[in-house]
Amino acid sequence: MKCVFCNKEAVFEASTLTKKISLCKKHLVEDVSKKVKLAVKKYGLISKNTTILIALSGGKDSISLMHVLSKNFENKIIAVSVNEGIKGYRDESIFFAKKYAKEFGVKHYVIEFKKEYGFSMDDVVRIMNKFPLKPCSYCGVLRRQLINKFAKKMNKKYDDVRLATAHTLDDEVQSILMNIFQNDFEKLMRCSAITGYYKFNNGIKPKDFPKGFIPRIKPYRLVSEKESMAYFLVNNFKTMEGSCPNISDAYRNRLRNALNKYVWKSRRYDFKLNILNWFDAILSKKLRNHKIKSSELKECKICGEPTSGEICKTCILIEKIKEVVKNEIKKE
Amino acid sequence: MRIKKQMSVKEYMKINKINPETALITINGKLVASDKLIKKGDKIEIINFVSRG
Repeated sequence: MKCVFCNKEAVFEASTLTKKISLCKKHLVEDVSKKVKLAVKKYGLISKNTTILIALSGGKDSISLMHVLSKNFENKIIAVSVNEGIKGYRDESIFFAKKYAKEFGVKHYVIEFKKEYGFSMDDVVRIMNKFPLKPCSYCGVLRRQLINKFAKKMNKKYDDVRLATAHTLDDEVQSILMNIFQNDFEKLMRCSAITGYYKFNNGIKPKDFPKGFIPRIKPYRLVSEKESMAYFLVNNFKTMEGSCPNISDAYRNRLRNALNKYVWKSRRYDFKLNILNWFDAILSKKLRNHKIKSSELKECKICGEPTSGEICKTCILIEKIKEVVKNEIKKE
Repeated sequence: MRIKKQMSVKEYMKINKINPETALITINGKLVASDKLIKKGDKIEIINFVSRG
């Protein structure tokens, strides 16, 4: 099989809306970069003065995204990794995050659960029977809050900080379908390429958000997980093998397996892109008529994030976790 | 894994029921397209890339 652009030996077959195209190493790299640039332009993710803060886990997607952004954009780029304190897992991925950040000339920061909260995820898992939910639910909430806090700190130092996450096309489609299947309209409307997007489109400018609001952007939204992995492989990047030891059989995993099986068996390779395009069309139509008053949004008294009440739900959950973990640690 | 009989990557994936939506194949460490022939003695690696936390 030859590359459709240069006739060199193809290494990958990329799915488009109409057909599959074979690409050589050089054109695969170009194709992924093109998709990131397209997402940035289409959704207005980055402006000239934007400082891109990459949420860098040290996995294939975030390392590849950091590489694409550092090669194709002139903007200031910094990266942050969170060490949740999961022994034998996170230490290794942070090693790779540090390695590649240095290689791509990106300033890299590491923040730790133990230092910020006084306990690690291993502490939480040890007394998991005291909590109603699975570890991932707590880990996600705690990690998001730390990253937001860090992003706000960076926003005082640099211009227009935006937090870039490496959510792929697959992640987005799974989120959209999960929210549809769970009939969660509010969460569904948040599946946009930039948080606060629909408020911007309704005349509420970023300055109307609580002070220091950091938009989250998804430049990898049009790149599939498969393309991300292929990009990672042809660039000879390395990262840890294996997954988090605390992973549970989440709904997302079951949905992901079903989706991938459907695409494989039905040969509908445009399926994921079609869902995303359909959702974007619905979102922009819906948002044109969706009115939100900026007065509905307040600043959380603890973390300062936008909330409809006095204290956001994340902070309420965090206070509960802190209380239980501290009591248990004292007992031990 | 070392292969005993010559076949294409596509055939190899079909025989081993590997979903191309969740895995890529490398031959002797290099990423290859689905029509690439796997020769006897080639070293094959199945790269499962689905994120799991």
